[in-house]
Amino acid sequence: MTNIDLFILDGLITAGYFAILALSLNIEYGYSGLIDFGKAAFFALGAYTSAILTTTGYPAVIAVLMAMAVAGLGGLAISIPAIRVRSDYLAIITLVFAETIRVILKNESWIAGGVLGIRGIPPMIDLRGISYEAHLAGQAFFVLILFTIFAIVGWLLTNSPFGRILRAIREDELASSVYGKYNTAAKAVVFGVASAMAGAAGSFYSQYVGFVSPDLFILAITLQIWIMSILGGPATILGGLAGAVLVTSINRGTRILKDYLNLPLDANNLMFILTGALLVLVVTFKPTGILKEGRIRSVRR
Amino acid sequence: MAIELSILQTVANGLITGSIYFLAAVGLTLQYQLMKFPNLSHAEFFAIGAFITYFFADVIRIGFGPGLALSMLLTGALAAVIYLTVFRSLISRGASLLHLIIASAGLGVLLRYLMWEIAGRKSYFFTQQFTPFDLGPVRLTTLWLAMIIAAVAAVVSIILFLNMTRLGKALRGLASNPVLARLSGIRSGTFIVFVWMLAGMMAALGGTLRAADTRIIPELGVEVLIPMFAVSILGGIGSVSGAFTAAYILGLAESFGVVALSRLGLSTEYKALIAFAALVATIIVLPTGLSSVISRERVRRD
Repeated sequence: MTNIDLFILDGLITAGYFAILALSLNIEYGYSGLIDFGKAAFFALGAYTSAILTTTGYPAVIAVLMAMAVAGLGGLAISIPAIRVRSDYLAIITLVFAETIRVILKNESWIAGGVLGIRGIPPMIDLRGISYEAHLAGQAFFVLILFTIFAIVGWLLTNSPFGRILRAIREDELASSVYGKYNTAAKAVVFGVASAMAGAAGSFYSQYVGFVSPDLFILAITLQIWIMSILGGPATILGGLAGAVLVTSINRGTRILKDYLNLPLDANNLMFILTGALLVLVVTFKPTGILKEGRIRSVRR
Repeated sequence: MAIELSILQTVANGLITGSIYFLAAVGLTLQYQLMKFPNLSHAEFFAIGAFITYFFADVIRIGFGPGLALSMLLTGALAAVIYLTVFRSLISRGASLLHLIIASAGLGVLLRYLMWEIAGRKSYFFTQQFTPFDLGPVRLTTLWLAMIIAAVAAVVSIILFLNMTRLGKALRGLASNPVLARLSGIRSGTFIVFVWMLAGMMAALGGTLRAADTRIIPELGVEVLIPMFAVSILGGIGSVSGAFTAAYILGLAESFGVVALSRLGLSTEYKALIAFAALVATIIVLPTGLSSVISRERVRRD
């Protein structure tokens, strides 16, 4: 494989991890109508928890479970003030929470490595002994399995009786509560589950790239996950995957453009300028996404 | 290393910080009330204003004061143009709350990385120097004095404008009941453009003064993003006097908080947590903000 092939394969693997994040956002926003601007924070909580554990010798499985627990509990904690309020306040609280987490990570050099982050995270599946190509192919296969598992979990969750409550809350909160549904509890569970999912994505992603730093978890990353969700179709399971592949292609495309056309622009700046422009264009011209919400398919009992 | 400050100096520092927070938040809170969505790109105008002042004051060299005045006009105009090109068309297409917030966030990222691209990864400084002087036991500079004067002048003129002029009264009517205001013959479009312009101007003023005290970088606005929202919500969305009160409460809480943090041997960067805590506490305890307490009227939530 040529370098460019490996670069594209690496892009696809990254897209896989982001597809899990977009899926978790779809469960929150697409199915339940909760506006979460703090996705990067739960991604970061998972990634850092896992990075600290794996670099101090704990097995990868424990690291993943702990990452899910910490991110999930973080999600539950922030849901207490957040979900009882209007949706614009929810957006602000989650956004501000994410910025606060990033400030803490940046400053805690004794545990989180500060600005530099944590390096040397061992990969969960190590095929570098065979060849680098085989290693990457193994990673690609692994992320595909992971996404499939999370997609099945997401499908079961959103098509269960609980999923029907979520959609009811999204459409009309008052009506849902009139029918005796516990809106607040349901929203807290969704926040917890989706955050745990983002935490798992963070753990696996950190073990793939081998390092974590505060720069990986900025607001612009949350916004990229939002584009993935909206472009793909918010109330879908697979839309996030389509969105993730599209957005990652654009991200990688800017770097290829930069290297091959020798543009006098910084690739990172260009990527985020395009991210911002794309967000504005998507909500203006294509706010409903590529895939549409499917009918509820109840699980047979 | 603990910073030893007298209580009076700590109070002065709080007033200085509060003045900047007010200038940053006043436009946001007026916009928020009128548009019904939080404009996440507002923080970027804080930095844009500082860069434009730098351009006039230190590249073209027309002086700091004239540069600041020009920057306020241009930043205000930019904010108005952005409303007219981006948000007006979104609203006319019937965009949801989420789509408006997303668009404003996207716009913010776009503007910030454009600044990074143009300015590069270095800090800029104004050549304008500000003389320090002692007021009793308190050390001030002319810049810090200018910040407090600017905030007080801004709050007085905006409140007078909203309460005394026909334009201001129309604006308040539009914010509290858009349908009735339109039926009374108020043309909403003009007023919305005006509020965006005012927000841009205040951000440019605050941003330039903060930059003169620290440095000019594209992150200048993001640094005050959390306090900006904390002040708007604690003050009560749309309330200028509420924002003024909230800005000084937060400014004082931070200046005393910084002293406490440094005594405890913690990084003073954690002062960001104070604004975060204030924001969360307000949303839980007093979601309508201080203005509902001050005016003793229940604000209807929709």
